[in-house]
Amino acid sequence: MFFRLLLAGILATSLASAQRGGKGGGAGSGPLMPMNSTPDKLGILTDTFKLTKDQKKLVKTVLDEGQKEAAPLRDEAAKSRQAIGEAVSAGKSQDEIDKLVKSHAGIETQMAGIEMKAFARIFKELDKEQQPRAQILFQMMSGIFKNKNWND
Amino acid sequence: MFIRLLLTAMMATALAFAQGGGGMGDDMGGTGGTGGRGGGGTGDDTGAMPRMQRQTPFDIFADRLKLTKDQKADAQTVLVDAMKESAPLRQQMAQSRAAIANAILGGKTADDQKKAMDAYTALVAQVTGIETKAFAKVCATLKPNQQGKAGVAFESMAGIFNAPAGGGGRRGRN
Repeated sequence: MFFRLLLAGILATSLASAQRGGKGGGAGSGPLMPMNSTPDKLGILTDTFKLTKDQKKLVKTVLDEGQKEAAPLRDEAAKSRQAIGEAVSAGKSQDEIDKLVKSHAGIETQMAGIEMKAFARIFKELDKEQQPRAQILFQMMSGIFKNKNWND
Repeated sequence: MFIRLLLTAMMATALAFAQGGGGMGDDMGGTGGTGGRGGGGTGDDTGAMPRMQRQTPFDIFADRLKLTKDQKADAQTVLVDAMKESAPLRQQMAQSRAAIANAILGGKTADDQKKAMDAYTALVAQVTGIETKAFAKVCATLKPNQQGKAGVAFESMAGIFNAPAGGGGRRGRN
């Protein structure tokens, strides 16, 4: 278990660096990674899990569907957060702010539900050798549909 | 399965905090950042490649409110405190997400899934509450002409607070 978690940590760190570093073509980024290229999420997942052609197709389909389902929530979440900010700035009562916060939390939960549903669908399709690396996918799912395109 | 995912989530969260230097990490506007995150993100083999300075979520937040240097410093302190306060809750959120995933994967009843979702809602509300209080403190330092974009500024504040474990992120929208 320890080694599995250690591996999880290492992989997670690599992923975080890959994603956050963005434009990085750092020394540790692999010999085949061209400079200044940003790997998209599907590319990261394909590399991480060594996805087969069919799995890759399924991952794309699941995440595309998730994106579609999440689209209205994405806008709602943004608007509800803005409403909270405006209420706070305007000095509205705590009761009013609490209502907005509660509503916002509901929207975020719906979003998380879509994310986790997509995670579960993909997880089920991974084989036993791939599943131990699922934490990478799990982490990647957080907020994945908050952008216009999950694969950016 | 549940235990494994739970541990993974905890590990991921701990890792995220470790990467962020135990607090705000590079999301708070520091240049250079930690562990190769943010900024130009270039490795040590990039030679004379020009670096593009990426705007941090805190920079975006400060820009939207047109904060002065002093206001920025105050805001940073307030947000660091709020992040510290919400850190344990964020860890619980990761665990709660794992619980939702496991409920789905385990084919739990709709009622059980709802319980998992409700628990997550409560956590989000608590965290948002902390963010709201922090934002109110920042707002208290604003002049009237700085308050016009408070709504969008609060939205962008999510990018500071939701530095994701896996980098996926709610850092902003495109």
